[in-house]
Amino acid sequence: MKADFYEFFCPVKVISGKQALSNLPHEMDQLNVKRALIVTDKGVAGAGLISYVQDAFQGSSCEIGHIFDETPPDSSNMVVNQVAELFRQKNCDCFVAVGGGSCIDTAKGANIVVTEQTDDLMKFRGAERLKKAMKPLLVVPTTAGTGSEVTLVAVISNVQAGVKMAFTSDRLYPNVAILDPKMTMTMPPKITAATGMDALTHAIEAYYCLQKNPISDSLAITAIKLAMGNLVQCVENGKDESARLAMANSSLIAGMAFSNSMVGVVHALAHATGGVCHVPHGVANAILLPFGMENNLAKKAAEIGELAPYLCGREIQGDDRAKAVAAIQAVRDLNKKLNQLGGLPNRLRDAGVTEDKLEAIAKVAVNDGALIYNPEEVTFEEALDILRRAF
Amino acid sequence: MSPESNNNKSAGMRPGGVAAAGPSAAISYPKAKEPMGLNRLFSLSYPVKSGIARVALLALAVGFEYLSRNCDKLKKEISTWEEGRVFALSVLSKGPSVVLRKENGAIRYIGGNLKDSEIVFYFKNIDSALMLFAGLIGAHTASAQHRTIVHGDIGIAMEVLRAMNIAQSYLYPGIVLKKTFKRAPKLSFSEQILKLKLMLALLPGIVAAYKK
Repeated sequence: MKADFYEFFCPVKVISGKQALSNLPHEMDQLNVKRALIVTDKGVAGAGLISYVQDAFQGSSCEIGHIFDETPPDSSNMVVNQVAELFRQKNCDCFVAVGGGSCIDTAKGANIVVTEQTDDLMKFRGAERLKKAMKPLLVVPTTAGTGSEVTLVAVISNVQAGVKMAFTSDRLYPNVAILDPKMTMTMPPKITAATGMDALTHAIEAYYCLQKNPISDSLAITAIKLAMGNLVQCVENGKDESARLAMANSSLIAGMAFSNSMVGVVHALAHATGGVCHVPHGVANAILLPFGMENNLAKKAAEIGELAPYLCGREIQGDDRAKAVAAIQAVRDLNKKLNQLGGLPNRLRDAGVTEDKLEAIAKVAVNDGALIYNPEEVTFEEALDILRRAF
Repeated sequence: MSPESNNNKSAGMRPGGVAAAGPSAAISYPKAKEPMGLNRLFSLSYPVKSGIARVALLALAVGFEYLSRNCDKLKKEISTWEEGRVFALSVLSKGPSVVLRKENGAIRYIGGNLKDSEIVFYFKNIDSALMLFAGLIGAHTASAQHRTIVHGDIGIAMEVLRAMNIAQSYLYPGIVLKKTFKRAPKLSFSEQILKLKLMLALLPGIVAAYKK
């Protein structure tokens, strides 16, 4: 592909493999920090995953300053301020996020508060506003979907103002991402399926949205190959370490791709569906992905068609449109399979959305920043039409 | 002297006339071509480019003001905005800016001071701004190519962007809209008349705004 103009950046050191977590203290040492504030949630702690992190510190000169395990599913400014305060009180010098997107975003948000010496994150909303060097952030994902361990984004709710604050900055990239299969082994099949589809959605939208570039393209294809080859195995057999590691890699690589190419209408609608009806992000993405691809068929048949061999597992004959249609069908088939194996909802109505909420979702979606990067223009009426078809 | 000693090889030159790398090799590049058409804009001096960008920003501001009172589409789009919303366009780092505020249901140009702006659309440099103003790229392409950044709430920025797209659809000729918009807007006869009226109001409006 040709690219007129693009930027690409990803400064995250990646350590991936069995027992990779054992490297955590060494990586802290390399960053010249000694005392970590662990940011996690009750689910991760309850599954015993924090004990793996504690074990990794044995025999090292680094230590855990405090473990904060009260991160809620949607991070807020209040939680972020609380974590920042703990960071100062406990004399920590780095953040270690252990969990999914919310834990990672909470650590990123608290890092802004600590670095900028503020308790008002509102001042830093938007793009490229953070100039100061931040405290080191090391991330150990326990889901395979968000890719937040390699992205420049953080989304945090402002409880008082009733808004979601989005931050994007090169400063928000974590320093280190550690992918250890034992950290994702306890994920139940339904969450495995939903988070895996989140990763696949990142990769597919990254491949055809407007900020795509040659580097994000190659990453997106690799992420798709890994997801198509391993997601079903992970749902069928959660103890398959090699499939779990492959999915963790798919998620991370898709994260690198979409952090530099951005996403489109699928994410705009999924964010809004999550905001209005509290549908988990991965579930909403999975349901909306084939409809979002169809929305862009007229303009991006060639790009979507290029994904057909990776999504269908074989070469598809015909023109760009025929290939693109086959690629979209392959996503539908995968959704159906994940529904049978893991109970992943295939329609919005099965995910708890009621028809009377569709207009409210469409209204929120047209104000989502991801729509800028969608190749096709999406009006309120068109967003509503996609939602009705996915309902 | 052998014939070979007098050719490019002896001077460290490759057959194509480009010098090979080496301590004594002088590299000669062909002279860069003069830019053609609109690309000549980018070879102008910074003060000239900055002046052009300022006039273009003022044209957008004046267009916004005029259309917010006369264009039904724009009136509808901004009807849900809260009174007093302030947004701005600016060129980094010390380039021209325009700041606009919603007052009494319409948009008003209030100068170039960014201090109270809720939303600021920044162009990273003067050339990026000129690319957009010259109709070489659209707003979505400018975002996709990281030529612009937004400070403030993204949801509000999306609302402002939609309103700006409506304003631009009256400021640019159809051929530019076709090239720069994801879906070129089609103006009805009455909207074409409005576009004509705006064009007539633009020059005095820019002059008046320039003095603010």
